[in-house]
Amino acid sequence: MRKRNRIEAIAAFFQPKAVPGGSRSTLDLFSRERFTAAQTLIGAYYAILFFFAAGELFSWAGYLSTTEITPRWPLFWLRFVGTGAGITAILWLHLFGGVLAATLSRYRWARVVIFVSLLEYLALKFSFGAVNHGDHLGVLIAFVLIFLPDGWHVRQSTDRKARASTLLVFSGTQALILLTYSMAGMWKAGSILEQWIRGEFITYLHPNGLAHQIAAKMIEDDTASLLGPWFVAHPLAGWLPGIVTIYLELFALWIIARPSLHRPWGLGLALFHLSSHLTLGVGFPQNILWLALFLALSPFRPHNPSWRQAIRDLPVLGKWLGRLERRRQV
Amino acid sequence: MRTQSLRRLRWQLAVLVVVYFFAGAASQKLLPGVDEIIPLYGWSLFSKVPNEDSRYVLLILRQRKRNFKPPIPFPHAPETLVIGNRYIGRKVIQRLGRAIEKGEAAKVKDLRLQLETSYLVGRVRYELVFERYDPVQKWKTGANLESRSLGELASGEGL
Repeated sequence: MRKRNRIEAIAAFFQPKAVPGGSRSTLDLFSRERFTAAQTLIGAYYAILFFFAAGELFSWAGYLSTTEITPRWPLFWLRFVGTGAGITAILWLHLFGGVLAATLSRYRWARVVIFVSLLEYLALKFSFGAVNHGDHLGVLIAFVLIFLPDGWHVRQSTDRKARASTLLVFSGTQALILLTYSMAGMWKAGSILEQWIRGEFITYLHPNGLAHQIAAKMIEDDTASLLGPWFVAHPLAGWLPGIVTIYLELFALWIIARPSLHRPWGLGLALFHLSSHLTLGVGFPQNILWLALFLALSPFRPHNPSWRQAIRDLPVLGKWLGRLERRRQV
Repeated sequence: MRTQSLRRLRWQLAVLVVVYFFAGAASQKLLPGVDEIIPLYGWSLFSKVPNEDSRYVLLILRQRKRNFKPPIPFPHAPETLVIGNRYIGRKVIQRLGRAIEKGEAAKVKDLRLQLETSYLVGRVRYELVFERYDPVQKWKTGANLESRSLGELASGEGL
């Protein structure tokens, strides 16, 4: 038997372990049914890009009347063609990318153009100062989908390799989406330690932690969010939800190989965005859409969801809770 | 052969995830002074809970010969006093406050010019105030732990 290299050993760490007597929860890459579900979801993603591109037509007048911008790096070429001509080209490219998404996404060249059109459009949108991080995932997903194999769009495909590759690329998009949340969770967990070391005791683990965060944001914005004032007045109500959010974020990538958790995590993270909008006034509506498409409706989710399996698969807590449950059954 | 190509694809995707992790983190946290390299991002959002917070506040005292008592804070001023994107305007105020505290004369001049020409309407006299506060107490009572004036300025004066 070949010895595992270091990367494979790290990858194995993220794989769920088989439970004696229980069903093993893994990604099934060869299922026709899951392949069809992935095709539909990827098709929906491209249809949504078309919708977004069409919806942006309303902003064209504003962009076209612009004479001065501070271009982001993907717009380095503007200096050679002039701002006005460049902006016009980007707007048409974005619309063209949307049309391609709805019609020719079966071709890799078209998927490359779609990615470039999105990147250019966002670079334009962010060249007026602020960056909206809620737009990033759409571009990242477009990039990963460039890797889709030939024939990914064929209905009832008999090509096992195309089916497996399509599902693998789909899981790649899930991984990149989840990675962004894990990164956010790592910064939060690391900051708790850093704040303790600096002698600051009010962190997310403190009963008043979330209330402090909400109050600071409302003061910064000079406006009250819908539920913010209530959470500041009742800080304990936000204590546990704040800790659960960090758990969801920190271990997001962990659940990639645990399909029983795709749906709960997708919905949990979407709920986190809804609540952060209601309390902090920070909205990531596009992320909610991508979480719903790529995780809540994941093609890998079990046919018959079992909450026991989901609990056993929970990061860190799963082992402990599973042991408790087995002891209770004995 | 088929397994090999699948394995290669899995590797490519894994490398992509790892590269994004390091490049994203580096682009936000490790390269001081470097603005975001979209679509890379470190995803450090609301990572720290502010035990104490601080900000610079712009209070409008007078426009032409009209005095305002009490002074009008920048975000709540009517459009006869403040124009443009107030969110970005507030960021300019923060940078101006920091530049004044550090004594960076050239930067102060640039930021004042930007503030007074892009956001303030007409000849306006204003005061910059530094506030340090406990966010929850400030929200509930408006109390600051520290509040000090950085001085009074007027549009175009001394530039």
